[in-house]
Amino acid sequence: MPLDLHKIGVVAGAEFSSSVRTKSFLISLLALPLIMGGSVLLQVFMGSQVDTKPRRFVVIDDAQAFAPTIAKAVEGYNSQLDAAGGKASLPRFLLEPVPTAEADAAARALALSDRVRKGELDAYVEIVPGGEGPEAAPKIQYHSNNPNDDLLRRWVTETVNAEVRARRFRTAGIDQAVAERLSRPVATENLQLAERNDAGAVRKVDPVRTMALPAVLLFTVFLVVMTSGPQLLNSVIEEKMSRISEVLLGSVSPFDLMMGKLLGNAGVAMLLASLYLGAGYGVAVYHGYGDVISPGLLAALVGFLFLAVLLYGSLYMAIGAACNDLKDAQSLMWPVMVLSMLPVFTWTAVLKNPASPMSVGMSLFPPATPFLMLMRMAMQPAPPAWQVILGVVLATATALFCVWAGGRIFRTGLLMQGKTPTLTEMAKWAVKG
Amino acid sequence: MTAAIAIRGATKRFGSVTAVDRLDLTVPRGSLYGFIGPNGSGKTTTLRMIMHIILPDEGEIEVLGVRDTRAAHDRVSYLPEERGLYKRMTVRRLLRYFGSLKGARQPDLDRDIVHWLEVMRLPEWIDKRVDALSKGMAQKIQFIASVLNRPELLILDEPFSGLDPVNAEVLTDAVLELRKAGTTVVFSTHDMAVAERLCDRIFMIYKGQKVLDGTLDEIQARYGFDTIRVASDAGLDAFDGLGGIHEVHDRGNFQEVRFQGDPQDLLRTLIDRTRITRFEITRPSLHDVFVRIADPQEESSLEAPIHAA
Repeated sequence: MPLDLHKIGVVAGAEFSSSVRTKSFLISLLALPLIMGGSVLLQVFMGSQVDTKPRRFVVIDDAQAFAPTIAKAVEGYNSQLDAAGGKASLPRFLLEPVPTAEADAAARALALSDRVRKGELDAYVEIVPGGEGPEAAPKIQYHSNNPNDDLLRRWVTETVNAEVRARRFRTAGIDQAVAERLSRPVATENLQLAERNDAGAVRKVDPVRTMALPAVLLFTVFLVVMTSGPQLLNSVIEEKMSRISEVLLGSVSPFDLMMGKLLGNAGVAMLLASLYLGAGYGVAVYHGYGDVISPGLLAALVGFLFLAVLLYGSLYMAIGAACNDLKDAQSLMWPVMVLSMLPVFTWTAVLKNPASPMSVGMSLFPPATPFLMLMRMAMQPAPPAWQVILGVVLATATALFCVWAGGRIFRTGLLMQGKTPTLTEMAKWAVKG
Repeated sequence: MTAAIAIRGATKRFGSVTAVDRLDLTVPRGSLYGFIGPNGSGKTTTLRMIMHIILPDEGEIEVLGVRDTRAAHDRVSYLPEERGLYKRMTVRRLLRYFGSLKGARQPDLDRDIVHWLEVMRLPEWIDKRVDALSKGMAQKIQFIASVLNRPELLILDEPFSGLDPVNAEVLTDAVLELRKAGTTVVFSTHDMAVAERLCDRIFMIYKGQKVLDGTLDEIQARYGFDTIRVASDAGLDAFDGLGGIHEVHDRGNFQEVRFQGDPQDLLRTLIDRTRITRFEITRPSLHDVFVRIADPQEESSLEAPIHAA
């Protein structure tokens, strides 16, 4: 079957210009980074928000071993907060007096629990003495009905632990200041390997280069695929729904039509990507990381991005060809969605062990290759050339297969009206034509 | 010179249904060929096979002398029955796209677009968006889209359906003009009057099989001169209890009957019964032929005479 390059070009040009002309292109251009950036900001903002309502609590320490220490520490803590002045970023602690009415421990615990339930208290802490001497280990029992709010619990733990440590040193007759100075930890430097031409140099591992860059590359490809793939699905469904497909099939072969649409869409995706990456590069230069991406890596990025768009575009297109409306498409889309999420689920594992059998296998799995192989190329140790080539060949073959199958499904689906095919039926059409 | 379309023994099955059954058909170049047949009889399947959109299970189809129809695509245009347009494009962009998909090149393409919009009386719509067009206008735009590549063979599936008489006339003139310029035109229609009026040759397909193929004269000759129009004082009652009468259609001022036997005998009998003001032996219309072939109820009613209204 000879390819009609002129017609592929005509279809690609029309697909490109009609996608770029739409409002949805502009919206998607702005919306995805906005949503992504917004959700990161929101998480950071929410994470830093602490409920500054004062925490009221009771310390039961029948032996009075730690209660005075805690009371003093509360005072110190609160006065430190007051000294910081302005808007409080941390809650004050209010130590409530211990009720003396009940002699029975169980009755007292019940009464205190009820006060917590009523909201008069946030927690009560019981300190169970743990004997005498350097080995002494008292128990701290923290009761509250909000176990996830660990602010007060951590503070009490630290306070009591500091006191226990000081007492142990005292009992053992050791000067605490000396002991702490002697047990100072030693740091490890995370360094790169020595190079032949510059053996003496010591180069620190830069987390921006080893962690951030691979992640940025991966998510750029992901972002572009998520934006452009579904557009292709819509465009194919529009043609089916407005009954243009038969007119088109009277002019071009299904394969040429699919190929043209795919290339036009890839053009849109590359435009999107160069806008995103241009902006990203601007930020990198601003922070002094202008050299972060080498020409070779840039070429790999462009290549794999193109491959990813072809691969996922062809998958979305095959689905569009099989559906009669968007509702059908939603239910048929999930397998492709899951495939494109796969690299997002596995990228941290690949980042830690880029040469492990799992990482190599995943990066050779065609739907994940454009993401993970690219990421591996941005990291040390770089993947061997044969793996890169094999990955590219497999992914290209998969994309071509999808275009071919999509074309056949498109042509067959044309004759099937009003019925959404099952995945098995689609497979049958692709095989039988 | 090879035929525009040569179909030999083409068969297409969809599952257990045989849509087209061992079809042979030759469409000579320069002819205007009408495809008729009831819904679901295989017209569209035949047209799609000619266009290579679907492939026959058996047999072969040659278009403009080429076996692999795709090679002839740019010389063959197809206006399907299921036809749509990109709603958000302007008329100009849409026609340029469809034209260049069919292999039309600039600057002829733009010139043809302007020319055809004038022929179709739509020149002021060139920069309007497609979704602003009425249904009839859209249909004319679809027609233009199919002729921009100056095809040698033009295949139209129900081109006149849904057009008002004025627009149908505009389209008819355009088709006749193309044919005068040498284009072979094949179209399917449900409108027997149009087929009778325009076509050189008529092809009828019924249940996937060819049942008629020839000029109107040939078809009418084959179906005999058995339709007789009678106007008499007695009206419908004149035919009560007469032998040899198959069907009686009351057309108001006259009755149309199908009579087996010598029409002279019928005339003699009728003169005895009533005063005859008109007695005409006519050819069956294409409509009658169509109904006779395609309506099995009519078929079974042949046995007993019925006074149908």
